[in-house]
Amino acid sequence: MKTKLNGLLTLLLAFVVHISYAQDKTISGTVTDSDGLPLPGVNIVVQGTTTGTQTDFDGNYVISASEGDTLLFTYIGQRPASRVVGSGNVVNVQMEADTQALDEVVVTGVAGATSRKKLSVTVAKVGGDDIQEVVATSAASALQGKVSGVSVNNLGQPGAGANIILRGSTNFYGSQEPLVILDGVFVESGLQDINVDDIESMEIVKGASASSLYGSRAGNGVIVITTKRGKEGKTEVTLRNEIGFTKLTNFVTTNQSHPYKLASDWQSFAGQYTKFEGITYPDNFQSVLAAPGHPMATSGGRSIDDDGYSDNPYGVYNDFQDLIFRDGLTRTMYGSVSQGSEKGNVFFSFEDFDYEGVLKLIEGYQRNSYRLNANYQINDWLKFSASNLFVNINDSSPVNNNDFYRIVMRLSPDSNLLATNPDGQPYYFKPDPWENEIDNPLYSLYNTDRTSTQQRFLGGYNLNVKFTSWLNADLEYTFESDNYRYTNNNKYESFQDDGSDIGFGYSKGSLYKSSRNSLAQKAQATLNFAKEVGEFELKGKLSYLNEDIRTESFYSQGTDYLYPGIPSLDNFDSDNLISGSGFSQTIAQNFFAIGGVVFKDRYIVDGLYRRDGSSLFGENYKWNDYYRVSGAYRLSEDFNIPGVDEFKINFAMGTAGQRPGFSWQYEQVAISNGSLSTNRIKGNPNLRPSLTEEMEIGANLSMFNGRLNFEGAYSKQKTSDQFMLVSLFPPANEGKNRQWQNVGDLEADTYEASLNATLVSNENFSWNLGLNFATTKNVITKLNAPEQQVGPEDLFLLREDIEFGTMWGRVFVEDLETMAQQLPTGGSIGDYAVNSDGVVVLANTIGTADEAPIIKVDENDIPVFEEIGNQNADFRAGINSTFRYKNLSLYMLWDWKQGGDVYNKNRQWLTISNRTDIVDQTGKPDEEKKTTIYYGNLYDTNSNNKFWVEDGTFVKLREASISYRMPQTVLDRLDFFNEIKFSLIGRNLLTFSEYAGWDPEVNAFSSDTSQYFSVDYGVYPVQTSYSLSVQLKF
Amino acid sequence: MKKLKHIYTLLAFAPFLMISSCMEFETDLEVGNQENPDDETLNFDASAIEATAAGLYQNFYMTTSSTEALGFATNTAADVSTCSWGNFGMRDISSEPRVAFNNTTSYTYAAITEDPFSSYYSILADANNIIRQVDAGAEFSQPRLIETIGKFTQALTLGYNALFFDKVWLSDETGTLNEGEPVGYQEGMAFALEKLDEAIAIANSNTFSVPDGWFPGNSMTNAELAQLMNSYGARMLAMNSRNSSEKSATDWNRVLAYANNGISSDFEILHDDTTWYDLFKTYLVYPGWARIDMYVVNLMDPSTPDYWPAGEVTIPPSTSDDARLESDYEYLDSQGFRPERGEYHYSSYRYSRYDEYITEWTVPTPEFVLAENDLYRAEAQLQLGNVGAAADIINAGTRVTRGNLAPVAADAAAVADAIHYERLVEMPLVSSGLSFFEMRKEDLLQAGTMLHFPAPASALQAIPADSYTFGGTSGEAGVDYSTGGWR
Repeated sequence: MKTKLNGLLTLLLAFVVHISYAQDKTISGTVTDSDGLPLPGVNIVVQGTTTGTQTDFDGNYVISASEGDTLLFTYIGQRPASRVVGSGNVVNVQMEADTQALDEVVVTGVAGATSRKKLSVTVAKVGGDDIQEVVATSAASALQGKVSGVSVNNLGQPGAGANIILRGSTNFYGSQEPLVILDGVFVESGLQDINVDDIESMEIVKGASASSLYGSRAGNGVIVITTKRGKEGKTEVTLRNEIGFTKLTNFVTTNQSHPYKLASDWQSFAGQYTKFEGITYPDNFQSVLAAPGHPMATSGGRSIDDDGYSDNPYGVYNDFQDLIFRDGLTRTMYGSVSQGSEKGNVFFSFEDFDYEGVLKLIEGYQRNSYRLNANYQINDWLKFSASNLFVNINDSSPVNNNDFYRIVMRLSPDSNLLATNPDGQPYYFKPDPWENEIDNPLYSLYNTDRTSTQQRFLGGYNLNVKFTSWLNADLEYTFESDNYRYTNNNKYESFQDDGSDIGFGYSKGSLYKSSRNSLAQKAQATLNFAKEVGEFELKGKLSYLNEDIRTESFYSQGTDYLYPGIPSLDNFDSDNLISGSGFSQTIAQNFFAIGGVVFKDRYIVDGLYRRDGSSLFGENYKWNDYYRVSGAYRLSEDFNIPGVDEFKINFAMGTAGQRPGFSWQYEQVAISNGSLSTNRIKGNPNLRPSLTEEMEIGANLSMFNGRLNFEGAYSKQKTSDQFMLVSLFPPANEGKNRQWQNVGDLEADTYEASLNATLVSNENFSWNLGLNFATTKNVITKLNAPEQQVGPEDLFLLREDIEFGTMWGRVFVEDLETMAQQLPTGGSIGDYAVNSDGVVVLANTIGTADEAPIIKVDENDIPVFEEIGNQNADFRAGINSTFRYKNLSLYMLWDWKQGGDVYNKNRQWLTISNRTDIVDQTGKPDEEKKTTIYYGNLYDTNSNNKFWVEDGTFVKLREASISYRMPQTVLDRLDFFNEIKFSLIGRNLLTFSEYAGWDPEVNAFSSDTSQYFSVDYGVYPVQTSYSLSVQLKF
Repeated sequence: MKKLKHIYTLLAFAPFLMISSCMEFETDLEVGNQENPDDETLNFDASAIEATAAGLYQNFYMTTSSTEALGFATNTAADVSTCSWGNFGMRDISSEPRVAFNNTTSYTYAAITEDPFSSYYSILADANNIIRQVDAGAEFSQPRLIETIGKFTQALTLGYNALFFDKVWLSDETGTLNEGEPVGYQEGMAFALEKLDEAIAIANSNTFSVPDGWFPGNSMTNAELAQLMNSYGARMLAMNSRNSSEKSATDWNRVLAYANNGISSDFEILHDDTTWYDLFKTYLVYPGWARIDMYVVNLMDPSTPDYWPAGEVTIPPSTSDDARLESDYEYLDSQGFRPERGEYHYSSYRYSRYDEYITEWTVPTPEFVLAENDLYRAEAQLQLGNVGAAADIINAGTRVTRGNLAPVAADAAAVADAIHYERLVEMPLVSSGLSFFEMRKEDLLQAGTMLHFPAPASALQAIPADSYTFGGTSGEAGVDYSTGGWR
C-alpha cells in the first residue's frame, strides 16, 4: 500500500515538475487582422486551462505555455483561431473577420449599436474577406451569393452594376431595389459607381420589420455601407493593382445551313459568296445587299429546295460573334493611406477603374474615385466625422438599339461585314445579301459616338455631442450631388435606309445632348440614449429627418448638320433644333422614436414609431405612420445545451413603405416641343405610399466555440396600396386615359437560412465554409383594378391570385386532349399527333412544308392567354469556401439559382431568318427532318409564346481566387511591407446551365415599371473575367 | 471653467450651424409639378387655350398617321397594301381567311385601337373646352379662328371615331351628351358634321388668317380653311358607309356641296421630322416593309394576277397603259416575306412615289389631294344620276393628266369603275383609312373582314363593360363584318 502511494506521489511529482517545466516556456507574438493591422484586446487562453492574457495596444502578447499546448485566440468580429505551440517561442496570428459572428455589432435599424446576440430583428452583415477576397467591380455586385435572401443579378454592361432585391418583390410599379445608405448618405443614383476596396462592411436589412426605422423609403429593405476609416496606430499605405480581361465564353449556336436551291456551279464561287439558283449576280459580287437596279444588286428570287429542309451549305462561313465580341481589358489601380490617433483619424483613397467590355470598337466604362474620411475628437464631448467620396465617370455606351444583339446572331453566315461602303467607310451598311432589315452591327459599333460623363459627390458630416455617458446627440448633414451629361452624335455621314439607288445614304446626322443635375440633401438630428439600470439595458433614439431632393435636366437636339464633322449644337439650322427640360423636387419630413430594453441579458424587446410626411404623397394623405415591435429570447442564457454557445429566437412585426414617383399624384398632360400630349394622366390627390407589413421569426445558433453559426428566418410580408397606372375610360374623363392609383396587395413568403462553419483551423491550415439558402413566393392577393400587362414585350401579368413575375402569352396546343376541344369543322382527333417538338400537328404533315403548330384558342377562336413561364427562382443558394494552407489561400463562391424562367426573345427573333439552331437539319436523319416553313410557324409572328420560354437554372462559380501572401519572415527581412499578396481571380468562371443564350443571367430593364425582368432581348451579356491582383501594404 | 469651454465650443460652431440652416434646404411638403400644366391652367388660361388651339390639328394628324393607329391594318385589310410583318396589326387583320379582331387587353397590337380611341377623345376634350371658353367670352387674339378650329376639331375627332369604330361617345362644349351612352357611327357622324357645318359657317362669315405653324406649309385665310373643312366633310360623309346599301343612302347632295366648296389644290403638310412626320406613308413604302397588293397591280395590268400565284417567288414586270405604273410604282423581283405566313402577301411592286420623303424627311407629303376631292364630286354626281358630269370630272383629273389613260365614257358602270380605280391607283396611301373605306362601301372587302373596330377592351374594362369584337363571323353580317368581297 505504502509502495503504491509512493509510486503515485512520484508520478504526481513528476507530472507537476513536468507541468511547471512546461509552463516555464514563454510564448510571444503579434495578432493582426486580415489587413495586417494589429488587434488590441484579443483574448488568448491555453486550451483546457485558466491561463490567459490579452494583446496590448500594438497587438502583442506574452503567455506561458508548453510545447504541444493549444492557444485559443478569440476576438469580437473575428473567426476564432487556434495554434499549437511548437518548438519556437513566437506565435504570430492573423485573424479573419467573421461577419456572421454573434459578437458582431450591428447599428442599422436598431435603437443603438447592438451585438448580434441581442438583436430582435434579422440584420445580415458582410465585410472583411467576404468582400475583399475577390473585390467586386462595384458595390452593387459585392453581395452576390453571400447573404441569404439577397438576390443580386448582374447586368453585363460595363458600369451598369447589378439588380438587387431583398427577400421578395414589393412593388407592381417602381423599383424593387433597397434604400442604400453609404456613411449616412442616402445613395440616390445607385451603387454601380461605388468601389469595393473602400468598404469596411455592409449591413443588410432585408425585411420591412427591421427596416421600419427608415419608414416610407424602406419597403424594399435597406443596405447600409460603412467605409474604412483610419485606425489608431502607425500610418498604413495599401496599394492594389488588378489587371485582367473579360470575355464571352459561350457563343450562341445558330443555324449554319439554308433551305434554298443552289446553282449548279455554286462550288466554283465558294469562298466568295453563295450562288443560288435563279439569281443573277453582278460582277465582283461582294455578298452584300443593294437596292434593286443598283449595279451591286442581284436580281431574281431564291427558291426553297423541294424538300424544304434547311440543310444546304453556304458558299462562305463567317463567325460574326467572333467578329463583334472581343476580350475586353479590366484594370483597377487602388491606393489608400490611413492614419489615426486618439485625437482622430484620416483615411484617403484613390481608385482608377477601367472596364472595356466585350463589344468591339466601344471604349467602355472608366471611373476615378477619391475618398477622404476623417474623424476629429475635438474634445472629450465633441466629435466630428466627415466622409467624402468624389467619383468621376466616363462611359462610352454600346449602341442604343435593342435589336443589336439579335442581329449579331441573325446574319446569314455568308454576309460580308467587312466589305467597304461606296464612300470608303468600313463595314458595309447592308451586309446580308438577303435581309433588308439588317444593318451591319460592326458599322453600328464603328459609327456609335455616345458618351456620358458623370460626377458624383457623396458627403456625410456628423457632429456628435456627448452630454453624459448615457446621452448624446448626432447632428448630421449629408448630400449626394450628381452631374450627368450625355452626348449622342450621329454623324453627318451616318448611313440610314432611304429611297436612293443603293438603298441607303447619309442621314446628314443629328446631335443630342442632355444634362442632368441632382442634389439630394438630408439633415438629421438624433438624440441617443444608452444606459444600464440594474439588470436592464436601455437604449433609445429620438430623431428628426429632413430630405430635399431636386433634379433638373434639359436636352437639346439638332437634326441635319450644316457642316460635316462639327459635333456642335451651333451647327444646325435653328428650325432643326429642339429642346426640352425636366424638374422634380421631393421634400420629406420624418420623425421617429425607437427604444429597446434588454433584461437580464436575455429578454429583449424593442419598439419604434415613425411618422413620415412627403411631398410625394397625395394632398389628402400627406402624413403616414410606421411602427415596429420586436422581441428576442436568448435561450442559451437559461438552458445549458452541450456544445451550444448561443441560441436565440426572435420575433418582429413592423411596417415600412414606398413613396410614389414624383409626378404620379399630378395631372399629367405633357408638353413636348410645344405640343400637348394626347396620352394623358389624371391627377390623384388620394395617392398614398404603399405599405409593407412584415412578420418575421428568426433563430440564431452558435456552437462549438463559435466554429458553427446558423441563422434562419421566416418572413411573411404584405405590401398593400400597390401603385398602378390604371386605365380610365377616356370619354368619361375628358380624354384622360390613365391614373396612378393604390390598387392591391402583393404578398411574399420567404424562408432563408445560412450556415457558417470553421471546419479546420490551425497554424498551417484552415477551412471555412459558408452556405446560404433562400426561397420566396410572391403572390398578388388583391387587385382593385383591371388586370394589366407590364414589363418587356408586355410579358408579365398583374392579376389577382397569380404569382407575381409570371409570364403570360400564347401557347401551341401540346396535347391531343386540348386539340379535341378545338377541332376544325369536320376534323377528327385521329388526324393529329404530338410531334418531336412537343406540339400538336396534323399527323400526315409531319416532315412536310404543311406541318404547322396550332395555336390554342377559346370558343371564339381567339388565342388563349395563359401562364407560359415564371421568372421567379424556386430557390437561390450560395456556397463559399476558403481554404488556407500556410500563406496560400483558395477561395470559391458558388451561386445556384434553381428554376426561374427566361423568355429567350433573341432566339425567337432568329427564327424569322431561319437562324435559330433548331432550324438546322444538317446531320439529322431524313425521317426526323422538318422544313423551314414549319419552324417559321413556331416563330408565331414574334408573339409571346410558351415555346420560347426556357429554364434559367444555373450553377455558377461566381468568384474564385488563389492568393499567396508573402511569409512574415520575408516581410521581416524586407523590413518595409506589412503585406504582399498576389491573387489570381476569376469571376463568373464556370456556368452550368441548359439555357441557349449567351448567359442565363438575364435582366432586361423595363421603363414602364422601373424593374428588371428575365427577358433576353437587348441585354448586354454577362461575361467571365480573369485577372491578376497584387496588393501591397506598408 | 469646463462649462465655459463647452459654451465657447458651441459658440464657435454656431455660425456653421447657421450657415447650414441658410443653405437652400426646403421643408414645405407642398411641391408643384412645374413640367405639366394642370387642368386649371389648361381649361381657363386664355393664352394656354390659344396654344392648345394651335396644336389641335397637329394632334389629330399625328394620331391618325401614327403606327399605333388603324391606318396600317386597314390598308392591308383592304388589300391595297400588303405586309406579313405582324407590326401594327398588319398581318393579323389581313390574314386569310379573315378572323375576328382580337379585342383583348393582352393583344400584342391592342394599341392600334387604344391609342387613337383615347387620343381622339382627349383632343375632343381640348376642343370642347376651347369652345366653352369662347362662349364664356375669353379674350383671344383671333376669337373666330379659335372657335372655328375648335369646332373643326370636334368634327374631326367625332367623325374619325365614327369612320373607324362602331360607336361614338358624344360630347361638346355643353358636356357629355346622351347621358354618357354611346351612339352608332351614323348618328355620331351626323353630330360631327353639325359641328363641321358650324365651323364652316363661322369661317365663311368672318375674316382671319391661320398661322402657318397650325398646318405647316399652309398659310390659310378663313376661306381656304373653309375649303379644307368642306373637303373633310366630303371625305367623312362619303366614306362612312359600311356597305353599298348605306352608300346609296348617303346624302350625296351634301357630299357634292362639301366637295364643290372644297380645296382647289393639294393640301400637304410640310414635315419637320420632329413634331410633324408621316409614319403612315413611311412604313407603307419603306424598303423591306409593306408592298402594294396585287389587287391594285392587277387594276393597272389585268394580265398580272390579282392574287399571288402559289409557289412563285418572282413574276415578270407588269405592263400598263397607265403611266403611273412606271412613275409611282417600283417592280421587285424577289420576296422578303416568309412563305408560311401566306404567299398571298407576296407582291411584285412597292409604292415609290414618296421616296423623296423617306430620303429627305423634311419635305411635304399630301394629306388631302385635289384628286380625292374631285372624286367625291364625281361620285356624288354619279350617285345623283349625272353620269356625264361625273365623267367630265374624271377626265379632267389624274386619270388623264397623270395616267395618260383614255377618257372614260359617260357610262355609269365605267365611271364607277374609274372612280374606284383612281382611288386605289392614284391615292392608295394618301391618308389613313381611305383605301379601307373605299373597299368597305363598295362591298369589296374580303369575307370576314371587320367593317369597323370595337371600342378597345382596355377602355371597356374601365367603364366597366364587357368586351366585344367584329370580324370573322363576330357581329352583324354585312354591317360589322364583310359577307363577301372582291374574291
